Amino acid sequence: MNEMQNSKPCRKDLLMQIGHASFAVDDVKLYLDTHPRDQEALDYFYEHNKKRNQLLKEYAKYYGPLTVDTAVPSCSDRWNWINEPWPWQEGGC
Amino acid sequence: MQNCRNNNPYMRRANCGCGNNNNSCNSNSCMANNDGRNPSMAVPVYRERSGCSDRDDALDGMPIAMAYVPWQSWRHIYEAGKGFHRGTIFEELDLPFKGKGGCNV
Repeated sequence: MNEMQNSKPCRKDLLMQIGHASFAVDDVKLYLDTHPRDQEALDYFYEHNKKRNQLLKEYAKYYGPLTVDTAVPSCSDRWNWINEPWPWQEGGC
Repeated sequence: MQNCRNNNPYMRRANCGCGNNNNSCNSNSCMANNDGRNPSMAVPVYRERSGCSDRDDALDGMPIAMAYVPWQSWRHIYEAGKGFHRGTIFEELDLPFKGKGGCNV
């Protein structure tokens, strides 16, 4: 993470990590629906959800918000939502 | 249709499964006969010998439309990246799809 703070992280890498963390969170959510007291699953959820939120903030910092949750004032001094590549567009590094 | 039989030991309650407990399930619409007056009507017999019906069925005799799902345990969890690529974080659910099984052997 320190490395990311010093240089602009690769957009593709960030998106990939966000995808991995998001999928893990979604899958463990399904498990928790039927096992709400499973501590290991809860730990897994919190760990990956925290990581996902960190990655989303990191992405927003350099490339703009992916979701409205990270569309915070610190991201930019203007509204950049439509300036970012759409999901079907190549992000590139 | 077979749910109309009330002599099934696997059924939790001795009703007909038709949605009520009155004698309406003795009607012809249910095809089953609860008191054995017409044994030939008790079980629908499928005489077509094609498709799946001509295969040996290890579950022959068991009640139809009954299924089970074993309780899943938290174990053999993939690392997030692998889970993403495999479509599940659970190794136990990472099963090959071969486009066969059932009738498509």
